[in-house]
Amino acid sequence: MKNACRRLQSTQRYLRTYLIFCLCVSLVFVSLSAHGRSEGIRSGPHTQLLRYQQDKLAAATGLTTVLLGDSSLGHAIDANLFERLSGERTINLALNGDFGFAGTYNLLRATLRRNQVKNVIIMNTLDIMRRDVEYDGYLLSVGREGIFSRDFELNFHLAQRFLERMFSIREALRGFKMLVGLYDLRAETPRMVNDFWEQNMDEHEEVISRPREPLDPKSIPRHKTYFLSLTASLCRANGLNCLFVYGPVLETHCRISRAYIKAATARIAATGIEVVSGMPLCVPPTEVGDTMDHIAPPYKDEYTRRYYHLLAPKLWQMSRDGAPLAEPDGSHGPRVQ
Amino acid sequence: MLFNSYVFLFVFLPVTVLGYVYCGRAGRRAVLLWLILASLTFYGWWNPAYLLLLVASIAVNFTIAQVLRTRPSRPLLAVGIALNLLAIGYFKYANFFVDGWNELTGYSFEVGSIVLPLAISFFTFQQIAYLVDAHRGLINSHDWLEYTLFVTFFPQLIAGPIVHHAEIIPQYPRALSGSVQARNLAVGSTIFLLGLFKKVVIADTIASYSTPMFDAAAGGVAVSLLEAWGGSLAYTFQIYFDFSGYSDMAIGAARLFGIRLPANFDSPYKARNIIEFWRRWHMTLSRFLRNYLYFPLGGNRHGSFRRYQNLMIVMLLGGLWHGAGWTFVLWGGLHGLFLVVNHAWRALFPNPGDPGTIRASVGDFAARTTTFVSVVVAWTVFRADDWEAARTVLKGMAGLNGFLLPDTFATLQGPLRGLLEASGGTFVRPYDLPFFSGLEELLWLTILLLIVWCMPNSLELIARFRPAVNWSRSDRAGWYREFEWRPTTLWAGVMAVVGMIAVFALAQETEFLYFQF
Repeated sequence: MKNACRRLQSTQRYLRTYLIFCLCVSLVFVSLSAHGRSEGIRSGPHTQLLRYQQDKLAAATGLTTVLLGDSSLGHAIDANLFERLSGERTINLALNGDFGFAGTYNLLRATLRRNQVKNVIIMNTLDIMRRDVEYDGYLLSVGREGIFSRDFELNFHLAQRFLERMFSIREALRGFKMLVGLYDLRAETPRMVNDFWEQNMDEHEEVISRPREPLDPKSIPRHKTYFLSLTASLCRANGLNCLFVYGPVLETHCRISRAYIKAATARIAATGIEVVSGMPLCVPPTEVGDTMDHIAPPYKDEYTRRYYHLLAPKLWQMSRDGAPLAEPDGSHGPRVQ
Repeated sequence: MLFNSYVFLFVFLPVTVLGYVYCGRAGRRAVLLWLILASLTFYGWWNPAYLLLLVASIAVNFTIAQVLRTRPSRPLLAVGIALNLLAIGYFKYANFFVDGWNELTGYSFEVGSIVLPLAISFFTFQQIAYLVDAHRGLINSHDWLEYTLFVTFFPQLIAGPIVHHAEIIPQYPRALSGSVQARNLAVGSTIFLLGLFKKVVIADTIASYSTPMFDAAAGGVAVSLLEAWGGSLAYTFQIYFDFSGYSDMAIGAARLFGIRLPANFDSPYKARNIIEFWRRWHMTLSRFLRNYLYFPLGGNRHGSFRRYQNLMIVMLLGGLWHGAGWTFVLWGGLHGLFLVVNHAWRALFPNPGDPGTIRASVGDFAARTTTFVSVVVAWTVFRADDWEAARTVLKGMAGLNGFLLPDTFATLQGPLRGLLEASGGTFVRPYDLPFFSGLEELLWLTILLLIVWCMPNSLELIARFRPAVNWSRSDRAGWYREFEWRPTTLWAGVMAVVGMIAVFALAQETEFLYFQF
């Protein structure tokens, strides 16, 4: 009887101690996650890219055209050349696919605070539509507007993502590495070259030789265009000329995904944003860079021109009634109608 | 509902335990009803429509068993078994057999798409055993609620262990008191968290090395030697940690309510032969197949040939039980063949040698390695999407698709470098070897091999507290006995770290591999 009583007491003591330890361990893990997050570790290079674009935006004035999107835009369009071609002050604020449409939405809000832009060109790569809704991208890029909105569903998803990140062993591990100096954020961040991340051309050969599967039209998540719809509302409310165009993509991939492209285009158009040309620019293997949707650096000017010619008829331009725009090299681009 | 989900851990389980305590005040029957309700909720979480099949199956089997218990009848038993087999045959195998028939005859019959109800393989076997035992007069009178709980009890309902009425129902009078004992809470939560750790930290991590390789093989990519072995070994560990993790969670969750389930795993990769492997792997399935298929077929009573024939039949059907596909049948056939060879070997060389000698130790190591490699080869067939994919991976494992080494290995120094150069492997850049993750993968595989070969399993760690109904500490000895789990401060700290790592790793819910069976 005495033994049984002692055993019971020791087990009860064990359970109490265990619960206290669990609480302590959880606190340590959450603190590590929070530490890593506060240092920008979770987003790593993404934070650096966002800051780079935010700094650029803060220094810019009198903008008429803003280019928003992912890395396919960052590597395909040179804002300076586009500006010379269009005659309108232009800025390229490309982020990457992890920010997706949410990054576009938040950067457009930030742009509108200081600039009376007229043209908003959104360029994303083809497979953006099959990626998850970018709640993480929203949390990363949201600025002074505050994290939460009046939209209950959005708030719910954001809170869920936030808790998932805080109660995550991976985040805690990264935070720990950061704390003991094993994680060098700068080492992960690519160098900025010609207005965007430098490409790793070692990957080129593998990119063009890898077999490609067609993208599946059924792979587009139901709420995928959530942030694009918010962007469309912003465009309407501010009377902006908002256009969507696909980023360039390796031609072998381009050709086999027509059903997907059709479905994706219909979904994008349903938000109210006009899709310029239903097809992406299909790129020969020699002209892609380190991924199938990055243009190799020597071809950036050429693709800037191609995109300009594609978009020009739709752009709002002060010189609309004026003379034809001259190419920087003296040749003449297409007349703007 | 998955054991490794927030909703199970933080809502379902606490509510069920609290309800269990609350109903305990109203008596045993209220506790029974509460646990049944909780179990049906757990099962219906995926698709409430499946509940109809489960409830109908319970009602029919209980009714037949009641008749068989009072008036044993072979025809009625046959009807009962046939009804169970018909249900599983329709839901699980209809398309498989129709496709086979169409291929043989050239017809094009169609049965449409049939959704496999979860756990049908498990609750069907449990109930067939109950019917057979009722016919044999081995069953005392059972209340229909007790029977319903025996079949539906949520910890074991979805993927086992396949429980036997004689080991579960006698525990009810004590277990259904509605009082949660501190010791059961401590032991149960410890086993559960060890299982959760095995699933979410080990199995889900190692899956990232196996899945891409098997997917590539299914897509016709000729995987090379390292890729094939890396992926197959990773799957060997994945399925063990996934399924034994699930079984641990089931045993732990049941223990919270004072019920001991049977053990399902006993360090199977430590087995020195295939016979021993099947005594350690999915032990409750092996027990069912032995008692309700192998013995009725005649077992080893009619000479060696009949014994081998029976072994092959049992293993082929055991393979088919895992899924409606030829790779599963082939896997069963391979294991049947291994068992036949093993029994024949034993008949030819009955004396294994004196234990404790160097020769015996070397023999022991060779036997364990041979058994392990055989099991890995069989898992390759089991995991592959189809026969073509299995052949591709097996060819890769045999070195017929080339021996490529990542060029990062070229920087290695010492004897390992010499060994690699002598092996005739070609150094290539990592993207030419996309399904092998280099040193990181090797490190994982080595650590896991050491764990499965040298470490005690989770039930051995808790052996002092009799974690499972068929688990005894007295017949086990090992270096780890000093480190067995006890309700001490040190263990509270260790389990808090293990448990919280597992809970913090839950971010992405992944299904258990055995759910598909």
